[in-house]
Amino acid sequence: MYIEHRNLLLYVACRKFRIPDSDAENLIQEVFLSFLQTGTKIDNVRAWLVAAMCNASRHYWRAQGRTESLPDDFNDHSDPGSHGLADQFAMKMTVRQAIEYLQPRCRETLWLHYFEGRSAGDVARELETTSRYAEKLIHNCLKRVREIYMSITAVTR
Amino acid sequence: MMIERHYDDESLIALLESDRLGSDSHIPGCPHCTEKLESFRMIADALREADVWNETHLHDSPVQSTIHTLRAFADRMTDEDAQATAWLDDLLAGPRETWKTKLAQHPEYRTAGMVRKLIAASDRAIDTMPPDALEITGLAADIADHLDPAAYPSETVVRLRGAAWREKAFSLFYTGQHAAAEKAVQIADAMFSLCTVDEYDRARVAIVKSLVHRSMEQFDGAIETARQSAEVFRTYGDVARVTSAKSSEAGVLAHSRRYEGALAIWLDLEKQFDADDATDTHARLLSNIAYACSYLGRTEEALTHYQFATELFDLLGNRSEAARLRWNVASILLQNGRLKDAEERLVSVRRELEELSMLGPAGVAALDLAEIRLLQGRIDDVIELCGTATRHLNNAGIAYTETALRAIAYVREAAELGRATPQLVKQVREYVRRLPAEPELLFLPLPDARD
Repeated sequence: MYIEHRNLLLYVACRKFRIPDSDAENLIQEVFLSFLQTGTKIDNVRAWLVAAMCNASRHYWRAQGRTESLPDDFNDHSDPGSHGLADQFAMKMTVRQAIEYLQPRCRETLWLHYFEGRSAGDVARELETTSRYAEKLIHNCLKRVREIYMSITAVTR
Repeated sequence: MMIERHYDDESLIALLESDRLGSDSHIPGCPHCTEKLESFRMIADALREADVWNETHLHDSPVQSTIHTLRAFADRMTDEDAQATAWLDDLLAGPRETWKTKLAQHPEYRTAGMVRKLIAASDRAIDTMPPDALEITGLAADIADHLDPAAYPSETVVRLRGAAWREKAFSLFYTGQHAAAEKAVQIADAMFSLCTVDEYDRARVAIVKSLVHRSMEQFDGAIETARQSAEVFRTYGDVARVTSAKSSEAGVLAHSRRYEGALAIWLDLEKQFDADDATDTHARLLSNIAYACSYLGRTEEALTHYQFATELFDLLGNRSEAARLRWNVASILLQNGRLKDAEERLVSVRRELEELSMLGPAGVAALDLAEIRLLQGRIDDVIELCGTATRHLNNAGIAYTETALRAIAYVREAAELGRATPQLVKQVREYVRRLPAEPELLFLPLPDARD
């Protein structure tokens, strides 16, 4: 179970809560020790572990007395969206993994358009190409990242 | 033949990037395209977040020292639990008054495993013999409080203390000791608050708190606490506990006589189950629906739901709950003047409750029967049944026993003098029924119930 869920929990601690790698592993251990001691049947193990990891991460920062430089949604306890918290983190982790498989030009295109919010025209100027080609590039790269995402999740399942 | 046509990827991405999605006529009626569009949207949304672009490498390999620690902890738990299982039978043999002394004679019993096993044993005892459950949780809390935290890894001991005090709080609540239950809740919560992962366990404590506050008629606080717990359980993906917490909220509404509101919540929660879904939660929901219906005067619905719930409890092997519901059915029939049917059921269920050592309910069931016997003019039976009720409640050792016994003695005396009336028996029966939830309730015989 530790091996199955460890990377997701590490992602939650390090990416969402910006906890240093070295301390995150200790928190993961605490989460699993808590899990072993629940004394009750847990149906959705992944959801439980992710929620507990969020709890442990908040506890970590409270114990450190740190209140600055934390994410805006630091105190989010619940998931208002249709996906569960665990599913959301797993999805982001997989998208991140999928990006790593992209060609540099594709990665740059998606970064400019989706992360920086630049229009196809802006992306074209940045990549020194036409707007029409930039638009096609955006579409193709999104298609490609989805394909990789689907193949990763198909293997995981 | 119609050929179904779908958008290609290009068209879907173009739609996602444009403002035309709202005016598209194909998407709303096409699950295939909707699903694909959603997957593009989900990935596009993720690409807008900084997390997914963070290139800092995470240490992906499992850490051997963590694996070793977790294995060692799990193995130790297994060994301790196995040892505790063997000790538990010895410790809990004989009357509960002897258990503390036995524990004092066996310091080796004082282990974390024993605390876990005692908690499990109290869970089993609570339905059949609440005073036993209370004594058991007392032992669990005592052992947990005296364990050396340094002898166990991490937060084991403080977590165990929280769990033991939570169970003790519930037993105290169940036996009508609400002020003590509230203090125990505070201790349990304080213990869990020291843990790195505390939300889930504190939400479980909060459910007990909600029950205690409900009994103390602090209804708004009880509702809020139950709602907050439901929210935590939802985050942890614990669907069964979300249902239980929402059900607790409905229980508070019912307790404050807002039966319509309670029934609406219970009916809504019940929708998630198939009719033959034999789970404890489903059975309890059906029983709660029946309870609300009975107070709303919807007698037939109440009887039907009790019937379903009883069948499920029988299937689940929960004899105590099944017996309790059979008793509820008999009581409804009695209240509705269906005396013959009520009598047959009461005779049988009283025996069942006695066999299960559910002495509190068995005592009140004897009073139910006494009411019928009085209507039949069988005064000797009334006197005997009052004696039975007294004996059962006395042996049950519940906090409110003394006041209940005084009320029953009053009926018995009236019967002996030939002055007992069905109204008086009914009043005493209702009084004894209400006592667990309202232990401060005073017994004042109504003038018209006496003569």
